[in-house]
Amino acid sequence: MSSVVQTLSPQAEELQSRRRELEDLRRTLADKELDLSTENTQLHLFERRYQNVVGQMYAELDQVKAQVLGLASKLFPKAENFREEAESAREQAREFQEESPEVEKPRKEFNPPENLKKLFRRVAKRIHPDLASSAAERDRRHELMTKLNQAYDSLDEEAIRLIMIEWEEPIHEKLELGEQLVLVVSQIARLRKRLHEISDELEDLTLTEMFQLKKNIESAELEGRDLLQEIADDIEEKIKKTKTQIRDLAYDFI
Amino acid sequence: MNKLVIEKTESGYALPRNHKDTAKELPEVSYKNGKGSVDRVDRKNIDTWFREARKGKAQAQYNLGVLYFKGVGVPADHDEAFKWFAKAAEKGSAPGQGFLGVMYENGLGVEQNDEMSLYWYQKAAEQEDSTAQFNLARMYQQGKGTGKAPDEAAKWFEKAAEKNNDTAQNMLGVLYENGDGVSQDYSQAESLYRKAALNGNEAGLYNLGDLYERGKGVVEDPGRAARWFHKAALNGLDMAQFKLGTLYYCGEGVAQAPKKALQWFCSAAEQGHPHAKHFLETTSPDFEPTAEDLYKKGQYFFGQKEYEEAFLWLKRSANQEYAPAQNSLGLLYDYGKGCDRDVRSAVEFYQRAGEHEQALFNLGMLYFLGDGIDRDEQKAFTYFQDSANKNETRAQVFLGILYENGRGIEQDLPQAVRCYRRAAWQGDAFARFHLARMYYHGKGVAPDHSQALHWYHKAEGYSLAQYNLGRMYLNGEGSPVDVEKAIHWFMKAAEQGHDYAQCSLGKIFFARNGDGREQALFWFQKSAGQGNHLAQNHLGQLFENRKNEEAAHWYRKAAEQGNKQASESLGRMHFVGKGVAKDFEEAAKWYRKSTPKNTEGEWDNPSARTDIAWLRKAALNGHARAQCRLAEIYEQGTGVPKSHRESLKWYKRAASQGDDQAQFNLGRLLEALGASEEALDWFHKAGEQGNLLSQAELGHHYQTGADDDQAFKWFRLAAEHGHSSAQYHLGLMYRNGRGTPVDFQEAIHWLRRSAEQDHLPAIGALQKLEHSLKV
Repeated sequence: MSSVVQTLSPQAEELQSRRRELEDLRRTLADKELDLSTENTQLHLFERRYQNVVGQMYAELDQVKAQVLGLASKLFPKAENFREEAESAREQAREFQEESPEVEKPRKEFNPPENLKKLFRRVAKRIHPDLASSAAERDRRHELMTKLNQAYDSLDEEAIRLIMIEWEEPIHEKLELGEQLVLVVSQIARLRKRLHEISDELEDLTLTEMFQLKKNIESAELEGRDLLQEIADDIEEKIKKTKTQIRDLAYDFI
Repeated sequence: MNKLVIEKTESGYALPRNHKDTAKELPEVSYKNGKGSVDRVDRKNIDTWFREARKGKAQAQYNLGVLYFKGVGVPADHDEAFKWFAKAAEKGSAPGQGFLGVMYENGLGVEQNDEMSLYWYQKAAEQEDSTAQFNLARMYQQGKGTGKAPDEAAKWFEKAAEKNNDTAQNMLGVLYENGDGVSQDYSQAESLYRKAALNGNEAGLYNLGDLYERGKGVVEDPGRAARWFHKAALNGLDMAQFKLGTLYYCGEGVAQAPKKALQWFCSAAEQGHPHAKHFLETTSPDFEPTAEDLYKKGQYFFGQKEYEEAFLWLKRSANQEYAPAQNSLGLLYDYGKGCDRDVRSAVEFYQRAGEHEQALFNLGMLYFLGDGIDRDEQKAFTYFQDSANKNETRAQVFLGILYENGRGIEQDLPQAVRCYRRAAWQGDAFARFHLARMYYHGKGVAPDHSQALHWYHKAEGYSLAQYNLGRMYLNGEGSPVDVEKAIHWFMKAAEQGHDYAQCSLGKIFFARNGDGREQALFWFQKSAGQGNHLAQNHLGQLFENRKNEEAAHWYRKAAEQGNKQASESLGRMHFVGKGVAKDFEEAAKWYRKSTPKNTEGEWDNPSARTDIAWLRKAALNGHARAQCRLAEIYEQGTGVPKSHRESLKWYKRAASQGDDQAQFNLGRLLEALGASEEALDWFHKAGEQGNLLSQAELGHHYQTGADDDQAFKWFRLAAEHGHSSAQYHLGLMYRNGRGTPVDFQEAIHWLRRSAEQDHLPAIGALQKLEHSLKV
């Protein structure tokens, strides 16, 4: 008795292996989207913290500097640059005031629980915009992806589950083998591109000075130092010094 | 979300201060270099550059420009970058000048300005900056900020290429391959591509592979082609991936391997390569090509107008003896599309296609036109007949044309009508036009205007049919007179550029007076601009007494084409000095031309022709026309013994007096006697005086001598004056791009004018050209 071995055409075989590749990519991409989202939120939180602790003090420093320079320019009316610098210091202080949002007590940490991460990955794998086969579908997926990021950002598990319910898997009508292959191949290409983008974005993120500062502060924290506070103390020292200067100058004036 | 963070860091409040306060934590600045990996630059360097730049050191200014451009250690700021590059450039820094060119070209930090960009590239290039030399060459090649100048492009590419700039090496190779700005030289192209390729340039790798695939400047070698494509493919070049896929698919230069083919097509498709997608979607799942599959790929590229690629696929299929592919390949050779024109190969593949009806027709057409092959109307007849029997309608029409004109077969008008009718019933518009014409003139069939009208109506879109319809409605033939319908049909033909229809519209509107005048002027001008002598004469009449100079101009144009009315008018203008200088001799010349042939002085009337003694007397008295006539009589030997010597003597006398007809005849006779140089002189003299036949003769002469520019000039003159054969040759020159750039519209225009004078080869060539543009 001879056994019948079913052989696939080269195209069908290629399609199978490309599908496996796509599946792997979807998994990796979901992980990476999660990483990116987490990093972003953490950096954002840190920035808030930095602003609350140090930023306010910088504004104050700018203000007192402006006072010093203002006094100096009155003392030395011929020195143009004092007045100019005083003006620009005031300008910077004002800018900061306008920019900085109302001080709110930020969360100190962003530590999403494991099950939320898992949920994020599962949803991202399904709805990722780069899996779309039409522009309209892409828009729809994009919208959901934004919602997903927001929900994750605010640790809202319920909202993430709602996205899953909202999402309906598109049904591709019966496609020819070759057409399926082209679809899969272009999905692979888009996912790869997005992966590159994410790793670029992550890399750019780590190159920002804010991130470097965060990293330094975190490693200092491990050693039991509060670097942020040290910087703040440093500035406070400067403010004090400057205030003394003002006092001295004011005496000169009198 | 992440964008938000980046915006804040760049807005400036954190960074400069962090910079000072955290300097001890950040001794270095990281940035991504051109290759995407991370580099670091010492913070101290940056501070030093700032100091030096402010002091005016060009190198430091340039460095700052780069820092601001890339956003290294400072926020990226094109305005700042531009400022520093400009400073460095003014101080003569070559890279600064080159970068400034880039800023101007792309409108970064300054308003986009190609001229300024060119200026700075040039400055830097003159200082031997190879990047700037490349950019400068590219500007010349694309014609940005200056006119296109391939020779300048080649010059600067060469300089950059010598400095081992791989992109420039590749580009210079392309110029050599196409003969653009340098004389075409495949082996130069090959060595340049090779240099670029060895420097790892993807395009160089690909182009080198392409040379091997087509055997240009190297021995055709698909194996080598595959190897170069493979290298480029591994570098990620989608075109190379696709090419390599095709070689694996066909088993050319590599063993046939469906899986590898598929993988490379997929890689190319991932990058969005449209052909790779098409192949994946349409190829049968086993990926083993049959001759028909190969043919279909060829058709696909043909439809995409990528003839070079189509050529490769059709050749593959044709070599497996697939007749439709052999016919199509023959067409490519015949039309010179995707390859150099090669009539011998065209004939070979048409013949190999055997009984394929279109191949038979195409072969017949080659013999009919004598297009790159010896003209042979009998062969043309046989091939057309074979093809017509296989129901190729185009062949049926041309078979009809041969029967109608008695070419390659004895004239047989009823048979011609049968041929036209057969194709007409199958919907061939050109056949319907011919059938209508036969009914109208009662050729080979009883005259029947209503049948003519019927078939002209059905010859949709054919401008000559539309024009004839207009005439029939205007004259009330086959229908009551109906001017509105006439206008309708003239308008359709006129819109397609039919000059006679335009002239007819002019006449109709002119007769309406009032508003009609302006419309009449419009159409007469359109028609006259195309060289229609009737319209030119009408324009002359319209302008006479209003703008006499314009009038004289148009009369002259028409008169030069032999319009007798215009000749007379022009004579009159010269006689009284209206719009032209008063000149009795000129007046006489044009008056003479206006005299109808049969009463053209005593020289042509039958009794004078034979009255040799009388003629001789007049000739001896120095009368040019008599001398010419006498020479003709000696040449033909009518009533006198034939004598070349006498004939030459009298032609020469008349010719020396400036008689253009005598000059032409003298040239013709000298040519026949082998004194071609002297003959040429006389043709020139006559041609410059506007002698039509001499102009055409000169065109032929220079064409045989392969002097395309001169041939073009003379054919153009003769064609404008209405010489049908010259119009035909001029059309071909436009088609083939000889003596002029290729211009299919002009080609069609002149072939049509010639065809309308019933110049048979023009009918064929026109049909062939229109077909080649459609497929």
